[in-house]
Amino acid sequence: MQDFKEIYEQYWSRVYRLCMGYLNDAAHAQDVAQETFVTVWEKLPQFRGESAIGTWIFRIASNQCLRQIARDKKMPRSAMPGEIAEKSEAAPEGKIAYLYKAISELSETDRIIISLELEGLPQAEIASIVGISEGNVRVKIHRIKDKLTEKFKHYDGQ
Amino acid sequence: MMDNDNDLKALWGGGVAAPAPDITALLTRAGTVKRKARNKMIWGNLLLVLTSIFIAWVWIHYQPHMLTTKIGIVLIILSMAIYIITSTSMLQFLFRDEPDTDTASYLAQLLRLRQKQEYLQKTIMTLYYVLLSGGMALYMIEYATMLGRRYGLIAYLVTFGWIALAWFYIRPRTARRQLAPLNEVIRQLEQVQQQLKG
Repeated sequence: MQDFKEIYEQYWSRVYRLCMGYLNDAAHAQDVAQETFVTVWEKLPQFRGESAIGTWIFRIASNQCLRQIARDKKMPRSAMPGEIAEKSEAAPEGKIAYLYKAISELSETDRIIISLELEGLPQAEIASIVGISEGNVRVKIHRIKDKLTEKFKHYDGQ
Repeated sequence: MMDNDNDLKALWGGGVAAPAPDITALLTRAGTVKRKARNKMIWGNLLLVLTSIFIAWVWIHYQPHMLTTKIGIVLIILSMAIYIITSTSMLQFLFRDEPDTDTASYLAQLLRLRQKQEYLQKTIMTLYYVLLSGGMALYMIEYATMLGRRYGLIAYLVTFGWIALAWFYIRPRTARRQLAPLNEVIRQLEQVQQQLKG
């Protein structure tokens, strides 16, 4: 429990940002971040340290994001008590909002890769999270950054 | 205008945050989800047992003489069991995924699971109808002969009229309703998988 609490405090914001990058919806991101930590809690006793704990957590978070594709659309998105839901932060504004919007317009896997990159993870670690080669990660990040820079050319300060 | 990496990184970390929800509430949520799944499972098991008791009661109370009646009863129980097992997510263990593998493997896993689900839904539904109609046809032989030719024939016509309606109208409609979203998910997953190859 102590371990989990530390992990939770250390990684909550980082996981939440990854989910925001993927979903660009504060409430939904908070939901998916929570689901991530529920999985972390369940799986922690089986974690054997084959990768760094951060890599492991980001794998779960990335998969939890992608899982949104496969989830039953008829099911209510969240089963969490209302009072937690209300605590979610207001949506970002200005340039920050523009960045998250621009990221959310990328393809699913690109959204994950760039979110991990902007989160400051080394490319080798991103490669191990996503399951592609480091070279491939480098090429993709380069392309995605070009796309984002291009999008920012149209940013008019709104 | 966005100049370099640092700008992007500064923006990224700069403004987006949400307070971490209380850890106890988070874990309560995990417990609730688990409990709901378990209740559904218990309910499914109970229904199965009740159905079997009911059929056993029919068997003992009416003492069928013909073998066809007995085989019919067994087939009907089987079809009901199949229906209950699939509708109460008792097969959930077949669809468990490993959320802590890398994304590429996870996508492949999700795709495999959805394809398995699609196959199972199609097969199980067909099996259910075949067992149920076969079972009913056999079960009715004994009682239809008692009714005499005319009423026996009417009993068969009504029963199989209903089964035909279910097979040709209700079944395809249900299949379309269940499979359409599933196929859509499979299509999207394949698309995402392609992104990693590109």
